[in-house]
Parts: sequence; structure tokens; C-alpha cells
Amino acid sequence: MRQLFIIQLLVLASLSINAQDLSGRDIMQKVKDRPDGDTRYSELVMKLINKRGRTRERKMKSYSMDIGKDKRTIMFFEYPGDVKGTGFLTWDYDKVDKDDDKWLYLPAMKKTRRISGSSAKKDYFMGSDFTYDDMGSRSVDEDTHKLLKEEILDGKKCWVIESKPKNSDEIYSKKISWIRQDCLMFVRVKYYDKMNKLHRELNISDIKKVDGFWTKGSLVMKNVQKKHSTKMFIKNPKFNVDIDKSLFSISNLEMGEF
Amino acid sequence: MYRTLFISLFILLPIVSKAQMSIKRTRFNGFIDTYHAVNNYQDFLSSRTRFRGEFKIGNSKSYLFTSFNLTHNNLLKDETGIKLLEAFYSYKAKNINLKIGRQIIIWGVADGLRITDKVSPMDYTEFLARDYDDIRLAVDAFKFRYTKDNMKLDFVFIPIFESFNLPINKDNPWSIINPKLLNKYEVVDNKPKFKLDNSELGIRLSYNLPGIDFSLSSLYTWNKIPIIRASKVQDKMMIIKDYKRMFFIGGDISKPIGEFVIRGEGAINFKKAFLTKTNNILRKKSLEYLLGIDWYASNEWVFMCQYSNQTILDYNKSMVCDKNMSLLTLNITKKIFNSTTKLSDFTYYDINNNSSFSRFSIDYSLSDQLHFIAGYDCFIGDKGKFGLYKDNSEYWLKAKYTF
Repeated sequence: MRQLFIIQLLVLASLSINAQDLSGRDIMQKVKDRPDGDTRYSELVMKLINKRGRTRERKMKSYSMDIGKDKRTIMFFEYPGDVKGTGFLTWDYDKVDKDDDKWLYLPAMKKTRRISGSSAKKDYFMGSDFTYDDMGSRSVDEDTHKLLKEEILDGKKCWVIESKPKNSDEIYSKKISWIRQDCLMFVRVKYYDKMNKLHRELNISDIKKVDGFWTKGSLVMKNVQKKHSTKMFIKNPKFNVDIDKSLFSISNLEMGEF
Repeated sequence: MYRTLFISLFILLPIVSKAQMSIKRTRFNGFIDTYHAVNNYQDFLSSRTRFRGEFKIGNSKSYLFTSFNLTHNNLLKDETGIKLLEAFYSYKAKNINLKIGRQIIIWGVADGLRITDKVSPMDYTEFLARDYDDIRLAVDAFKFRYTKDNMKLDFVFIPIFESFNLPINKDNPWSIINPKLLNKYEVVDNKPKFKLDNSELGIRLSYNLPGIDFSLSSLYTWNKIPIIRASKVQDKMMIIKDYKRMFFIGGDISKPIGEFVIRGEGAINFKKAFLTKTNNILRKKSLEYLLGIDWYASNEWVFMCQYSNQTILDYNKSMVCDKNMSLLTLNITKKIFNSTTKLSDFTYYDINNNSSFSRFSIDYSLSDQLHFIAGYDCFIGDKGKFGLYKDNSEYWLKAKYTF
């Protein structure tokens, strides 16, 4: 009994030392490396709410796959009708100095257009409060990270990390993230503009395990300056789904999702 | 007759094949829109309302797709009625994709200009005063695609000839024939006969690689824009539309560099038909190319600029057109109010004739389904294809409900 107590004490002590030794970058790398399967599928519903409370909706399906440290994602828009059939293909690269490859398929034009991988990241996704960058995967080394403190948020112990972009072209000057220590998931992110004023705030909830992987169910991004917000619900998430690398091709983008 | 066959085939096929395909889903969607345009003299230049239906049935491996327009046109009575736009069967296996039927096939990277994009012709019934996707016409074709990694190889076989729709009806405000100069005439359309000999064949090899897209293409085809000649036969004025065989080899490239995407396209046309001042047809070799740059600036601004040129390589002074013909296009779009409002302008500038066409529009999305769009089409200059419409500058309104 005494032996067991000593072992538990040693384990706790080592964990505490490890946590103290972790840098902001280490934590962000751990978040990035959190197991989430090699392939994923989910259905996304976005509700865009303006300051008068009027709501618009966007629905899409998303597939993604890890290829080494890089990631490929294909999205098909389902609603509203005027964008139904539009497809968006992204090849995200982990290497900081390599621009992502992005293509947009416009069914009305029957045409795939290559779009800029660097500037599209800063634009807002489908009129929502999420940027394309928020929707994709950002390389850890695109920002410098600093661990500010540890804090309890909604009863969960979190790391609070400040991230400043290395590239001055980004739309934010810094962001402060709250990361749950038990599951390595973001629960809150505050984005500050170039004047260092709070611009947007993201709150993430409904965090649970699906197929053995931690996943988020609801995200609310609020633009506090424009008083516009977007609620995003992730429905029917699946991990390690049986999909082939060839799904992430222009040919499939043009075929659409059925 | 073959049109009727195709229509019947694609109305019956979904029913017949329902039992045969392991159907997962059916989809029916489309839109209703109404569009009205008046010129500076308050004459209506367009007035139409239509219902677009799109029906898809099948599963992720094979499906049937049909789309059609049900139109009421207040100005052009011939345009009132039902029109089949596309109707095809698609089958996909691991590395292949087969599409059979009436379909729109788009090649190349150019916007609003045709360098290698010569498979599907265009409907110029109201010239360019329509949305670009309304202008494309489908062809009855077999398209076979082989894919491997980032490569696509397309084979296209088009057994049935389809030409451009040019407005030659004198009641059409967009007619290319001036009713003041020529009031009474008959039209003779020398379309190629429905024979296997007159089929078109094409091949396109494309690569989509990290940091670059490129393709090579070739098409054994026809000049789908007819050569139009006016001729007097036995005291009757005839408008004769002629089509000649031609062939091209070309390619395109698209490369992102930072916030920009550079686009290029080029083709060598063999035996392309040109009209002479003596009303004859000469078939010459010509070189066409396009250079474009897209700038995806921040705050939802997009600027797209293109320069295109056609040079007739063995030019003859008797030809009606110039040896070199150049065109500039500029497309600017800006989204505001969380993308609920889109401002845009697409301008064509004909360098040879110093004339231009600009389409300005403001598109407001009242709800997810309902858009109100207003615009102004501006023609400047009195020479060339834009000069022809110098009195057709128009204000227009459009409402579109999507379901």
C-alpha cells in the first residue's frame, strides 16, 4: 500500500515537472499531434447570425486525410441551393514556407479554378466569421507561442497560450488560446486585431470521445466588433473512415458528392 | 429526331434504371428567375422568366443527371418553351469515369474567352448580356476519363454537331444583322450532316501538381461560329451560314505565386475559316494565346485581368479581319456585409476597334434562397463586335429564387 502511494506520488511529480517544462510551442505541437485518426468525415452546419438576429445557414460535408505531416481536405457544399455542388479541395502543407494548394469547383461554370493558397486563408469562409485559415490546419511554426498561465475554465484545467503570427500580413496581431490539459482540445480562442483590440472570440463545447478520438461538437465564433456571430455544429463525425487518397483529386472535386 | 431520342432516353432511363442501380439518393433542385432589361430609349431588350430544374438519381458510382429550362420570353417568342440543357449518364470506377449524353464540357483556364475551350459552343441569343453559365451550350458526347494520382486523361467523341447560337432573327434586339440595312432575308444554315464522318474527336491530358496545374489538349472539330455571308440568289437576299473543319493543338497552365495566380493558355489552329472581302472563305493557320493574372487581395476583393491575342500566320490582305486581334478583360469582385452583397464588373476591351463592353452588377442576398440583382451593361465605341451594340447599353433587374 505504501509502495503504491510512493509510485503514485512519483508519477504525479513527474507529470507536474513535465507540464512546467513544456513551452508554448511544445503544447501547440502536442495539440497538433493529438490522435485524430488518419482519415476523417463530418457534416458541418453553420448558422450565421447578424446583429439584428437574422440567421442564414450553410451546410457542407467534409473529408480529410493525413499524408505524412501534411493534410488533404475536400468539402462539398450542400446548402443553400445557389452554392450546392460547389467543391473545395485543399492540400495543406506543414512546411511553413510552402503555400497550400487550393482549388474551387464551381458547378454553374462547370469549371475548377485554382485559387491562391496564401491569401485565401485570410478571407472569411462563406460569409461566416471563420476564416479559411480557421477551417484548415495551421502550421505550428507560423506563430510564436508563449505559455502565459494555467487556468480552470468550466471546471477543466487549461493552458493559456499567446500566439503571435510571424507573418505581419495575418489579420490578427495575436491570439490567446485556452487548451484543455486532459484532452488537448481548444476550448476558447480570442483573436486580437492590429490595434490589439479584441476582434473575435471562439468558444468550443460539446467535447466528447467518438470512436476513441476526442472531438468537438459545437463552435461559436463571435466577431465582437461587428456583432456578427457564427455557430458551427459538427455532426456525425467519423474517424479512420475507408477512403482513398484519390478522393482528394480534381477529378473527384468535379464529380461532386452524392 | 435524335434530339427527341436523347430526351426520351433521359426521361425513361431514370425510371428503367431505378430498379437496376443500387439507388442511394435522388435530388431535385433548381431555381426560378426573372430578368428584365431596358435600354436608354426605354425599349425592352430582354424580358424573360424561367424555371430551371436539375434532377440527379443514383449513387456515388453511377448516376443520371438531367437539367432543363422552362422559359417564358416576352420578346423572343421562339425562346418560350421547354429546353433540355444537359442529360447524361455518369459511371465511375477506381481510375475511370465515363459520361455519356448531352453535357457541357469546359476546357482551359480562361474566363469568358475561348482559346482551347472549343468543345461546348455558346449561345449568343442575347450576346454576352447574360450570366456566363447561361451562355454555354451542351454537346451530345461520349467522354471517357482515366485518372492516376494527379493526372487526368480525357477522350471526347462528339458524333452530333452543335454550333453557336447567333442572333440573326430581325426581331431580336441583339441581332447581328442590322434591320435598317437588311430587312427581308432567308437563312440557309449549312450545318454538317449527321454522319460519322462529321464527328469531333478530342483529347486532353491534365496534371494538377503541388504549386502548378497544366494541360495539353487537341481537338479535331469545326469552326462552331459560322462564317456568315449575305448573298442575292434569284432576287432573294440570303444569309448563308457555313462551317468548316479545323483542328487545334494547345495547352494551358495555372500557377499560384503568393496572393496571385498566373494563368496562360495557347493554341495553334489549323485550317481555321475566315471571311474575305469578296465574300469567300479562306482557311488559315492561326495562333491564339492568353495571359491572365488573378489577385486574391484581402477583404474579399478579387481582381482578374486577361490579355488575349489571335495572329493569323499566313495572312492574306483580302481577309475581312485584321492579322492581329487583341482583347483585354478585367473582372473585379468585392463582397461586403458578410458576403450578403456582391459588387462586380466584367469588362471586355477590344484593342483593335477601341470598343468595349462592361457588365456592372450588385447582387444582394435577401435570404439563403432569394437574390435581387441589378446591373448596367455599357457598350462604348462604334466598331467591332461591341460597336455593333452601341445602342444596346441597358439597365437590368433580376430576381432569383433557388430551391
